[in-house]
Amino acid sequence: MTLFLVQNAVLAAREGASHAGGYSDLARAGVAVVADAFALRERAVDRLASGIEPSGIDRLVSLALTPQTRVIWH
Amino acid sequence: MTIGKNLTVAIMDPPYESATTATALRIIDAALRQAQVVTVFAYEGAVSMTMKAQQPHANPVKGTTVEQEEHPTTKDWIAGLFALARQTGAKLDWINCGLCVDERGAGETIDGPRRGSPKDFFEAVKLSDGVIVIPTH
Repeated sequence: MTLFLVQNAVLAAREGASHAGGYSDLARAGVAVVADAFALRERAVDRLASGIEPSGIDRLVSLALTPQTRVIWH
Repeated sequence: MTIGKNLTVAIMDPPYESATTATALRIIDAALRQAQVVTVFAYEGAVSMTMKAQQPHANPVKGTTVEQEEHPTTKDWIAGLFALARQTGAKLDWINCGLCVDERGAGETIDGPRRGSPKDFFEAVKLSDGVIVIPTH
């Protein structure tokens, strides 16, 4: 499972944000937690909580094209 | 481009209302660099994204001209996606929901999009390797 954060969702991934620990917990549990690098730059977020990886939106497309993968937009 | 990969994207947000529009167009841009066929089904307010009559504007509050303001329009962004498809050799099939178009008087579009129905979305999904549905909230 991959949790891909876009738009304002990346704000909670900032190091020190009150809910960032939840993302780190997910990462420790084996969920790939990814934050859209474009959204991070727009919001001047340059430090992420542990376990969260910045990535381009092309990764989201690659994941969507991966066999046996379903995308759920929330 | 990944030969044989088809992606379908459904979008519903109208232009100039939310960050979702830019995100959706960025996803489509990335898809045209990876997939052979990218089908976009624009539903509800999203059909207004390709309206030909969209115009950039000046900003009288800031005193800037049209040129200085560089106001982006979704129709120009989408025209750019069609140009990208020609460059990469991918196919961009942009389908505007016909009933949604009629409701909004959005039938005059830039070159590229076509009129369709939810049945076209269903058929595209059946042929797709991946589907991304971006609903309104």
